[in-house]
Amino acid sequence: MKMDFLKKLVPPGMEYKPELRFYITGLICAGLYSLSFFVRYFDARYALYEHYDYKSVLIEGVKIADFGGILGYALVGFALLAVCMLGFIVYHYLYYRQGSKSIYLMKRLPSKLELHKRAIALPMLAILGCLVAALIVMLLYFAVYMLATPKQCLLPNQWQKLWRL
Amino acid sequence: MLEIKNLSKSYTGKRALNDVSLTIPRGEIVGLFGENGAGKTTLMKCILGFHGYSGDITLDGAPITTKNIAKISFATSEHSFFPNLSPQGHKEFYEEHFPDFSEKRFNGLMDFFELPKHRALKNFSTGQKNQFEVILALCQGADYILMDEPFAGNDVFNREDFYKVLLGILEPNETVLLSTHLIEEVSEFIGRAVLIRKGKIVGDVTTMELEEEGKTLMNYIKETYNYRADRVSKALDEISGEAK
Repeated sequence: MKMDFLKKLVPPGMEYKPELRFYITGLICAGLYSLSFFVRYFDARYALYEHYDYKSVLIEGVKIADFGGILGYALVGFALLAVCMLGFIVYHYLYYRQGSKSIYLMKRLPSKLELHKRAIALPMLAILGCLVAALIVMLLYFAVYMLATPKQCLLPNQWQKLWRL
Repeated sequence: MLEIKNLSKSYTGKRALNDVSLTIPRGEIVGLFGENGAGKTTLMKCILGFHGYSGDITLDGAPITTKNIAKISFATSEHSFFPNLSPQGHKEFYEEHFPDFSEKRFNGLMDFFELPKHRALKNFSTGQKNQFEVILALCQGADYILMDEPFAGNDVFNREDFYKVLLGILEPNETVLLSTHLIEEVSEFIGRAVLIRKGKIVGDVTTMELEEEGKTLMNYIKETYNYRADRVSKALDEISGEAK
């Protein structure tokens, strides 16, 4: 895939590919860690039933915990990745002082934004990507929670509680 | 015209520049001389807006902002290029940001100094890095070219080549402010010498005035700085006397 436009979002001469690799690996790890939701969810769902040899019977009046409680820290990987991306911003600014003082050139460009654009843009895009990924994963898990839980076991106002997460 | 009025700059209580006033018209090659720590680099960095200061600096009557900053280029012994980028990459970057970038001058100078165009700058020798730093400053399309010790680390033949090239390619409207310790080498081609000491301008003379007075630039500088030629022999006498 042609990603050459990314070259203009990092300091000149800096390879964006290692950062991209780190980011993609981080996203995969965050995604895998978020699967811990299913462990908690299926445990909670299992507890809704009384289990006999070949049969499970829903316990009368039992309620499953709120989605937020079951989600727990499943999305923390995305947050950690976003924090790492903040570290890349610092690294990008430091890059202009490594091996030379290219900061002098960046500071005297007619476009004052160029210095900041090249230091901030890619990590900020990555942070935005983390937020979007976390949101998609959360909605996906919420859909599973809502669809796979017996209606009578859901506590009320799950949608409203979702916004508070 | 580059005009500096009552420029002062302090670093945590220490005065680096003290009420400096200087006017540099277009087309001049001005040598800026002074001991280490005299304020030469600070003066250039104030002109470029890297440091805050008190006083006024104007370029052709206007304050230096993003609108006219492209009229000033800067070559420094600290190097301001990107070490991981090739000269070709720098050319593309400069073309994108400096509309008057001279590709013709760039190619000509790159060929003259036989610098590779596609190798990252970090793999260049110190001399080559200096050459490239100056090439970028000369090709930016700036009217005012500031050079701060640009040849530190280059051999004498290389510097000689550069002086010749500089004289040969500069347009009449291009101005050079050259800070260097190589007084005798540059005395042949500068038109004016500005002396700075402890943050103050202590001398400002054209080479024509020096010629009329029958003085060399080196002698003028020594006079201005009250250089005591007998200082070394006295010190040596004392040292050798102690040894005895």
